[in-house]
Amino acid sequence: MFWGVSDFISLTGILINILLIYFVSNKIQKNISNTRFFKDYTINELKSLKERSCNFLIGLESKNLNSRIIQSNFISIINEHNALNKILEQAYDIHFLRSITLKLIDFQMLVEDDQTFVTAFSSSNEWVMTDQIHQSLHDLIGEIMTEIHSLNYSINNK
Amino acid sequence: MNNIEINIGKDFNLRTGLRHCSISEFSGELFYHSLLNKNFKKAIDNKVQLIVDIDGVRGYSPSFIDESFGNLIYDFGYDFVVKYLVIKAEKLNVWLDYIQHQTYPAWKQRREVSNRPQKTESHPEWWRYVNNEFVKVSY
Repeated sequence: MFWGVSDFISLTGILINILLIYFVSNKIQKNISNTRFFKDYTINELKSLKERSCNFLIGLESKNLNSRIIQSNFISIINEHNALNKILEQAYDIHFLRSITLKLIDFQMLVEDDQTFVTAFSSSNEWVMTDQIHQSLHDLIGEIMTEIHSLNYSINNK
Repeated sequence: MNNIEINIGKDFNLRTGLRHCSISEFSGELFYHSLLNKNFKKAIDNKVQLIVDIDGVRGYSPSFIDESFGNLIYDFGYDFVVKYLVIKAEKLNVWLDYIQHQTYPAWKQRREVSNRPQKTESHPEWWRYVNNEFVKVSY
């Protein structure tokens, strides 16, 4: 149930990013990161990550997901953000994605400290989002959209 | 004596849980009471640093991180933690920001107002720095 096509793609994305981090850390990086190819690749990765993140977050409110799967997916999304952030920082000295990652972590904390989630998690049950978290979720999705739009602009102008 | 090192993936578990023992296995509460508190005190006694490597696990829930390192601030105070603790993270480095800017300030304030952390399981006595001395506590 957890390992679907999208998760394989996500895993592939992580592996590619790990290779790129190693690649980018060499002195060749400046030549590579300034190429149209690398910029386009990075922007595509950002777009893909934005879609996966927003789909996951929107999915929280529309489906009764198992609380343990929610926690697992949060971990995956945050790891992906962190990996892509390292590329942006090393290749372009762009740090904006870090703030999105931290906002995601804050939101995950809000969920994890919510009593209904705690109850669901301790018995491995489904979780239904509370109204209080609903509003935070909508704010977060809006912020992610805005910040990634700014990131695309920054990468293109590097 | 050399610095003391803990690798969460090797010394605790590859998959960490949430905040409390009552919620999940391998919780932040368990990590703190089984490894972090006593090794931190040992580092202070021997005037070395405790190095906690947080890489090597699949990932973290923020409540695990918050409960683990927050309790260290609550029990020993910010000054001791900054002096004797090093958190090592190359891959999962986003957590360094989180711990520094969220966990430490929040738990520093908790210590100032004596807002005691919740314990959901009975733990052996652990160390706390109170009134300029180290004491063992339990509740």
